[in-house]
Amino acid sequence: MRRLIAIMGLGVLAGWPIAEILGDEPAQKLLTKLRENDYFDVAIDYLDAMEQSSLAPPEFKVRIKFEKAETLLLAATATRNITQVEQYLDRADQYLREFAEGKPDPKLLAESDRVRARTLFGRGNLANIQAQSDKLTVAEKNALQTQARDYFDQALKVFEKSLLAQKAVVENYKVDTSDPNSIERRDSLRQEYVETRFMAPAIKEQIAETLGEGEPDRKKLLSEAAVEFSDIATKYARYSRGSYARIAAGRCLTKLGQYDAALNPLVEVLADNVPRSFKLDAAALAIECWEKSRPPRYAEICGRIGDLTDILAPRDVRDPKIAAVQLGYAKACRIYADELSQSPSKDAYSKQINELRGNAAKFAGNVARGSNPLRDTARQVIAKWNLNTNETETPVAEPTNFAEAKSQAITVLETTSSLRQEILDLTAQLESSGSDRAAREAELQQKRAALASAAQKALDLLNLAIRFATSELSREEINGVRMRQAVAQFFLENYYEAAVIGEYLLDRYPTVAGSREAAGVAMRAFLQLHFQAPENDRAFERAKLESICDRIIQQWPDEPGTDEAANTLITLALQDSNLERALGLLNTLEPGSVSRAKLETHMGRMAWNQYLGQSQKPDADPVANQTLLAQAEQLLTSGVANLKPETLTLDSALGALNLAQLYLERGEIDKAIAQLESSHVAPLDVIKQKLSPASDPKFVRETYRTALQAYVSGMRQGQQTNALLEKAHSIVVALRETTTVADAEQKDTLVAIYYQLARELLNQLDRLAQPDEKAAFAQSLATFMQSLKEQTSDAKTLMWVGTTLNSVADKLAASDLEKIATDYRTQAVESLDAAANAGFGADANADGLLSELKRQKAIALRGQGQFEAALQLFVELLRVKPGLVHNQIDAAKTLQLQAEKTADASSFAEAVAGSKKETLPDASRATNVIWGWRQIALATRGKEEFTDTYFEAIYNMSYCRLRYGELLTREDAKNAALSEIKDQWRQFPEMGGPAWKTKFSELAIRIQKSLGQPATGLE
Amino acid sequence: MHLLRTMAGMAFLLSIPVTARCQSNDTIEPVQGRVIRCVIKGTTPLGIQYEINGQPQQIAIAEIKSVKFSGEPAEFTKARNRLQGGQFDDALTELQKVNPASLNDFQKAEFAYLNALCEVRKSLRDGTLPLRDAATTVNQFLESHPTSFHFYEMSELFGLLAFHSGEFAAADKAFQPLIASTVPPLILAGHLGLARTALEQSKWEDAQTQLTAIAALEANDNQSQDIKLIATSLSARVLGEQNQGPQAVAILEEIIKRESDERTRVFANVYNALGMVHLRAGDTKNALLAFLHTDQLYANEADLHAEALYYLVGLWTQLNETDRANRAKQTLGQQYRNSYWASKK
Repeated sequence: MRRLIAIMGLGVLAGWPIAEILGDEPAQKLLTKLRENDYFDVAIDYLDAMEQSSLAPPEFKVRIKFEKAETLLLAATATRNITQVEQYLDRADQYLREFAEGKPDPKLLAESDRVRARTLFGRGNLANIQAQSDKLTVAEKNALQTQARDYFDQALKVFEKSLLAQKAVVENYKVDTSDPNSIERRDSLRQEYVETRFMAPAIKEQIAETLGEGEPDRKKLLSEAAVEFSDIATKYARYSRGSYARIAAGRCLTKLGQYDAALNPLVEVLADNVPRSFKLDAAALAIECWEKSRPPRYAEICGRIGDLTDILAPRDVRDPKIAAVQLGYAKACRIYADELSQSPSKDAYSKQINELRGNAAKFAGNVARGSNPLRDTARQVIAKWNLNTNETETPVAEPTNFAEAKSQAITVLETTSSLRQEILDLTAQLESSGSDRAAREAELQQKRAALASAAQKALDLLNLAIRFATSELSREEINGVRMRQAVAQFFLENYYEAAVIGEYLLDRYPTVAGSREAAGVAMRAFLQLHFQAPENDRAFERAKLESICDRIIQQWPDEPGTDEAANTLITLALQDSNLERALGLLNTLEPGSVSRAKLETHMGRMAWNQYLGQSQKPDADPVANQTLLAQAEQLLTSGVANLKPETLTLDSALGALNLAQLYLERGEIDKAIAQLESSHVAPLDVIKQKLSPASDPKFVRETYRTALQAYVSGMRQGQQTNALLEKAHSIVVALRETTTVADAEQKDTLVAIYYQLARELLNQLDRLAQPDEKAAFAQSLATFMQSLKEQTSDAKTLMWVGTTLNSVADKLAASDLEKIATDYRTQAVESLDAAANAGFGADANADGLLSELKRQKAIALRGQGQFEAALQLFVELLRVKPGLVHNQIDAAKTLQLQAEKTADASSFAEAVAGSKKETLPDASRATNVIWGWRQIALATRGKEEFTDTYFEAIYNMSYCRLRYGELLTREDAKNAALSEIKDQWRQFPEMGGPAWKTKFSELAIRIQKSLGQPATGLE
Repeated sequence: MHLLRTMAGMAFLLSIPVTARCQSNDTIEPVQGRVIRCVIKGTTPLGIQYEINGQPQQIAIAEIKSVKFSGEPAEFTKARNRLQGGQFDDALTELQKVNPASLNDFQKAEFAYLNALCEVRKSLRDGTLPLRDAATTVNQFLESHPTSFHFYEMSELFGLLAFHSGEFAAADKAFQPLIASTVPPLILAGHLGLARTALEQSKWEDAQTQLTAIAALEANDNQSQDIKLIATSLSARVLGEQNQGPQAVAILEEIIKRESDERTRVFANVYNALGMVHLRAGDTKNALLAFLHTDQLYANEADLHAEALYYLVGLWTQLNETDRANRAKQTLGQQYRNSYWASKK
């Protein structure tokens, strides 16, 4: 319904009656309009409707499938989501095939062939992009590059064939002077011809990109492409493609290292009146050429790039290309200033030197402040050259009228917006900063003071403007000042004042420019007041906030900013845990909008966390849990799909990560890996692209941990084990790089990640139902552990490997996979020995770690049936700390298992009464170093924190007595076992909880049967 | 008491016109219509009598925009311009250049008026002259020129000076003659002045009597309309004081909704009244927002801005925003040092 409305709305905007939109001459125009505005889904809907409509003109109807393919091709170029691109291209192919099957007019078929060739070109590009991923093995990269070349070759053939036909049409075209549209048609044919001509060198350039630097074909292809682009540029300069061909030629020459030659066309473009995007591309390439020329030509960069004011504006610095140009320009300014200052006549250049240094600081500062991949580089540049990015301003004359005061205020306010962004960035970094926290706090303080000073200055000027205001001024003029007053007050953290002014403009002048922005300021001001108010006294702020949000939504239902109001209301609803209202409000937001996507993602995260919390509760309702999980999946899938990587927040990025974790939870490993690596917002890609959330170490570590889990889990599927293992290793390397190994605390963080990973993997193992599934999963886990063991000499990591393998073995043994378990125990012992050899050095907890290491080894040996060796280790541990209950339990268990294995009644007796009598230091007489179950029970009786241990000891004591009685045919032992259970039951009717009660009851029945008594259990 | 004494004996002088020497080429600029070139024959507090070609005529004060007397010193014009531009000291400097002995009676009255006006402005707007000094000068004018057509204006200003001095009885005395006049805007201004002094003394019924009188008076010019709206807002405040907060808020919000806020004086009054109503109801935050409207949007209305600042000091303090309270107090002290609100405890 929304799409239909969108169609009608667009048509009305374009001035067409609805009847015409639905099926007459302007159909093609509407389609073009929809595509130009990126309404690709709507365009497809429209074409679907036209396909069924009796109103559609026949000449349009025959093109519909072909037009659908064209639309999908354009949609594919407009998205970064690789999966979606593939889907679009597949659908486009399908439509083109259906179109060709309909045996269309040869002219149309030729046209559709060109679309097909572009689809192939798109597929080639896609494969080439995928091949760039450093997560791939060499073989995988080669395969993708070969695939890319195949697509390019096919595309080239179609274009070359089409070109001949098009050329003939253009050459034979006769202008009909009686037809007013004849010249327009000729121009259109020529333009299409130029487009097709452009594709041949473009494909050659792309094929060259699939080849290695040193390969001869690469050079040949780039040279040919450069010549062909230059030829197009010369012959068809008046067409847009012709103009762009100069940049393409320059690019090919740059790739060939022919920088001077490349600069000729690029400098031409910079001087010409061409679109901004062309200038930007040309500027980026030209800077590279000037820098790489020998000697580098920094003066030219300063001269020519300095004139490009629209590219040097700070506002668009999020665009990586603009950031690159600005940083290149900043570097050139600095170096050239240094060169001039070395010159003998440096005094003559002093003004220029100052200006250049000022520009270096200004533009490096712009890049360092924005969210872009070059931000860190820019910060390094600033630090290296000690640039002062807070240059003092030139004194400005006192304003004498409204216009002057307003203009000066606007200038000052522009500086506040960049300061505000810096403060936000610094605040975000502060949360995750380590040792440099104090420095960052100081910087933050300084920026806040600068913001307050600038905002106060702006406010003074705005107040002055209001005093200068006369009745002749328009409401728009006054509103502009009022709106900025609200902004300045907000920056000064005078939230009540900001709210008053903003709300005033909303109420009194809602249709005047500036009021929408002011209302937004008021909303944010009330939001701040809401946050600042004590939690138990927020009713006023809450009511005001809800009221203004409601009014904004009512006043500007379709304007940007309204989503923020809805967003706020949803957040409030979520705070109240009112998911129903939140979902209702969510539907008021435009589907696909970024703000909706962020909210959906946020809500998805909430549902996911709730699910995690619930699923850990023993009494959780499984149906309700699955509902929560489904809700989380739905919200996260929908939200993440519509996030924009360039405006990604930490919360949204975590949502994308949660989605991968959710797939892992479901056992959908392939989906989890795709989400992590190559989805629209892929957490691993976020880190690689250094998008804003990547500055948060927790996000990075969580992403790597999840990726490790996914890769290790994926190995059990068998086919890609090596590739996944390679990826897992690259993640381990990345993880190590993110933590400073020299820093013991960081090192522990790394090990903590490993332990959490182990927990997740073991949980995953638990969830598998079939023994063969468990065995396969354990195998992949062991493969990873083994390779990790071979790669590291870090004792803690080796110990983690041993411990994890031990746990895996326990779980396998519990699933009757004892034989496989024994293998893992052998590996565990090896890892633990390696850890012991590596030693824990000066670690403050070295003794504790060595004890744990010994304990783990004892457990592994026990699992292998080496009971005596295991008991020896337990004795060593218990000699030092006899009171460590968990070691006493393990030792008693070992005795019990040994008794079971050897069917030795005396060992059962030792398991109960204790063993290894020695006179310990500080003791006057010999005692059992291993207590046995009875002593454990006595030591833990009546201690709440040991309730479980107590009942475990009683249970095992009773069991051992039963087995003793069975082996020696001693009824008294069996009776003693039964009496012990009944005695406990009398004293503790709950018997330590339902689980223990059931076990005791079952044991009682077994004893009763053995004694020939009625099997009443604990009835 | 001093101010009270100065008002004594004022009323009986009001209706006696000054008879003066014939002047030629006097000019009267009316509020509407062409400049009148005439011979001013005499003045009363209610208007000017003049002759054109020997024909006697008169003009009421409400219709007079400005008057220029034949042969008056050029410094008068300069002083008037300086006054308009807010350069009160410069205006006084110009007037000091004039030799009073050289002036005729009309010019003497105008000279005294301009001097008094400068001092009032210096006192109330700049705060650079004590209220008492200005009041003395105004009083001298009222005593010496009881038939001046500036009489009521000066009388109202005297009332304001008295109000800001906290001498409400003197203020009441000054406002009374305005009520006795036959000019509706003056009558309304008189009632309004009396209402304000009553409100400040918490005499709600007295205040309401004055405000009811304003509502009852037939007057539709813009100035009178503004005063009527202000009176409505003050009536709402009285309701608030009488524990009828919700009705009061409804009345005030209705004005806010209905009227153009280009009537800045009305709106400053309305928001201050709203602030008071909320304050009396114990609704600190809404009171704060109301007074902040005057502070942020209608600060050009000096006395009302001063009043808003006074209450904001208390409200910020209540909200534990000591810095904000201090800032408001500082602004009040600096910008409105002679205001009643700056000295009110």
